[in-house]
Amino acid sequence: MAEVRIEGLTKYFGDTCAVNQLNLVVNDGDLVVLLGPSGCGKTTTMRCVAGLERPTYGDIYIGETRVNDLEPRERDVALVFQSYALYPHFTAFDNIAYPLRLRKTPKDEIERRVRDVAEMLGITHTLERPPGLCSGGEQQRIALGRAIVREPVVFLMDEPLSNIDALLRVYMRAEIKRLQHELGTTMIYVTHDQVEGMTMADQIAVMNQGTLQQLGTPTEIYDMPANNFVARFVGSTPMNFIPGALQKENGKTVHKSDQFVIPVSTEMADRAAELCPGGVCTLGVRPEEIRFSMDDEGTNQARVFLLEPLGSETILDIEKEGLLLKVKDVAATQVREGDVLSLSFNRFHLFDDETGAAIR
Amino acid sequence: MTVQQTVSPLPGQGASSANSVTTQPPPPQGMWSELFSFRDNRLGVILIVPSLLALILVQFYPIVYNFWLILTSEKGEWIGLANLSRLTRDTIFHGALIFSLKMGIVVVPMCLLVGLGLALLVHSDYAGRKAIWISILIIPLMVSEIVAGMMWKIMYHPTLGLVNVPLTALGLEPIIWLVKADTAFIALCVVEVWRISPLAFLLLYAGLNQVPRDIYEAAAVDGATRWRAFWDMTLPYIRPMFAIATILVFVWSTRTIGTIAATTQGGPGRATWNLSWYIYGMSFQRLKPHYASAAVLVMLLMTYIAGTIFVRYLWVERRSR
Repeated sequence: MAEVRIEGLTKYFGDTCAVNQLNLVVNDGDLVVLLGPSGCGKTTTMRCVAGLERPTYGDIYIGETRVNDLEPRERDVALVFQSYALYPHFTAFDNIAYPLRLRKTPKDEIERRVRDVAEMLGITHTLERPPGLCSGGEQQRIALGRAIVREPVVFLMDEPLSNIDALLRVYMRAEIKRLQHELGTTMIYVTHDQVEGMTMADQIAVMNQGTLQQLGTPTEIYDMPANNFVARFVGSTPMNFIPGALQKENGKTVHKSDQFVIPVSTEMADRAAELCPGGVCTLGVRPEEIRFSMDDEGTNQARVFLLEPLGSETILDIEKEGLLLKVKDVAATQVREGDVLSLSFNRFHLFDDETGAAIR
Repeated sequence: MTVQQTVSPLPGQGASSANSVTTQPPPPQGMWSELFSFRDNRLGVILIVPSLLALILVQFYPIVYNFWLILTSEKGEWIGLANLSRLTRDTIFHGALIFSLKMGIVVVPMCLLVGLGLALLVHSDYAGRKAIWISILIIPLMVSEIVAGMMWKIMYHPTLGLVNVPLTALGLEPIIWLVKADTAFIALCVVEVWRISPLAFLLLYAGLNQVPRDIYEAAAVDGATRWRAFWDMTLPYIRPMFAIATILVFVWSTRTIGTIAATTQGGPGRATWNLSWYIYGMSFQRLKPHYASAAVLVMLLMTYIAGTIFVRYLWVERRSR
C-alpha cells in the first residue's frame, strides 16, 4: 500500500497535449476517481501511473519511489482494463494465476490464492473455462480477480464497468468499493460516469481538456463546484444556468437576467464585487434547489411545458423566453403541463462569465 | 408439433412471455439433416453444385485415376500392388524419398525462423512504412521456381557468382557449390528458404496482427518481460498460423522441382533427386507413368501424415495448465 503523487504531469501525443501540468496526491488507502468527459486525459494519466505511457514532463511517485523510469512490471500496480484484456487462450484460472506465476509463487499457494479470490468474487464456477465462454459480468470479475490476487500497492481501474449492463453495473460499483475498503489498497478509478464517481469515490478529481478542474470529496464537488464545467458535469440532472449580471435594485443586489430577477445575499454580493468587478456572471442552480408554488403571484413566473416522470421523482421542464430550466418534484406531482409556476431559488452559485470560475 | 408454454429462465423476459402461450418450433434434427434437407436449402444446393462438379473433376478424378494407374501395368494389365512392392525395393526411390524428407526437415524450421523474424520486425514499431516492407519481402513468392533456380545458379557460379565473393575476398578457395553432394544440398536448401520463407512471413505477420494489443499491456502490468510475453501471449496466439505455415512450407519444399531442374538437374549423380524429380524422370523420361504413380501415392501419404502431425501438435489449442 502506498500513496501516489503526481507532480506536474504533462503528456504530449505529437502536438496534442493530453495532460497538462497535473498535480494530484492520492492518499494511502484512498479511492480517487478521475472523472471527466472522453478525451479529458484521465486514462492517459492513469496509463502514465501504470507505466504504459511515458510522461513528457513531470514526475510520478508511488510511495517514496520515483517511478518515471520503471517498467510497468517493476511498479507493483494492478490495472483493470476497460476491455478487461483477459488472455483469451488461458482459462479463467490461468488468467488469475498468471501474475503469481510470473512471480514464481509456489504452486499450492497459487492454487489457494486463486480459489480464495474466485470465491470472494463469486466466480469459482468459471475457473476452468476460457474467458470467451464467460458472460460479460464474469469476465469483468475475472479481470478484477487478476488484479486483486497479487495484492499490489495500487489498483488502477480504467472504466471497468462501462461494458456491462446497467443493473450489474450498479451492483458491481458497490462491490468494487467494498473490496477496496476491505483490502485497504490505494485505488485510482477512471470513469466518465459521474454517478459512478459520486457513489464510489473518497475523492473525485474532475478533469477537462487535460487539466485538473477540482479535487474534493463527492459532497464538495456537488455542493461547491469550483467552476461552471464541474457544475455542469456533475449531477445526474444537470445544473440549470441562467446568464445575466449583478445589479443594485432598491439598495439590494440582484442577479438580473432576461427572464428572472433573483436576490443575492450580501456576502455573495461582496465576494462578487471583489472577484468579478464587471458583474457579468451566470447563475447556476441545481434542479432540487428550485422551489415553486402554483398560486403565488411572485415575480419569477414561468410555464411548465413537459413532465418527465422518473418513477421516484418527476422532472418539470420549465420554459421562459427561450430559457429552459429543469426542476425536481416528487413523483406524485400536482403540476400539469401548461401550468404557470412562480419560482424561488433556494441555493445557487455564481460563475464569472469570463473565467468560468465560481464566485464564493 | 406440440403446443407448449414457454417459461423463460431470464427474469427480464419472463414477465412478458409467461402469460402468453406461444408455439415453439421443433428442435433441429442435427447438422447433417439440416445441411442436406433439400426442401429448405434448394437455392443453396443449386448454387453449390457447379463448384462441387468442378471439385470432383479437378480433385477427385485425378486421384482415382492415379489409383487406376498404380494397379495396372504400362500395357494396361491388372497387376494389383506390384508397382508398390517394386517401390519398396527401388533404392533410387528410397534416395529420393530421403532427400525430400531431409530437405523438408532443414527448410521448414529455417523458413519458420526467418519468417517469424521478419514478421516480428515488420510488425514492430520500428518498421516505418509496413506496406513497402511487405511488398519488398514477398518478391521471392512472385518469382517462379525455374527463374529462382536460374538466378541462384548464377549466384552459385564458381567464378562469377556472388556467393563466392566473400570467400575469395577472405583469400579462401571458391566453393564449387553444385557439383558436390553435400554442398549441393546446402545450396538447394538456401534457394528454398529464400523462395518459401516469405510465405511463412506473410502468414505469421497476419497472425501477429490478430493479437490484441491490450493483452501485451495487461501482461506488462502483470509482471511479464517482453520475452515472457512473447512466449505466453504471442506464440500461443499465432499457433494456428504456425501450423498452416508449417504444412505449406513442408509441402512446398518437399515437392519442389523447378529449382532442381534449373540448378543441379538431380546431380551430381543422383545426389539431389527428390520425389518430384524422381516422378518426373520416371514418367516422362523413362516413360513409366504407372510405376511413377505409385511414387505419387507415397508423396501424397507423406504430406498427409506430416500435415496431420502438424495440425495435431501445433494447431490444437492449449487448454491444460
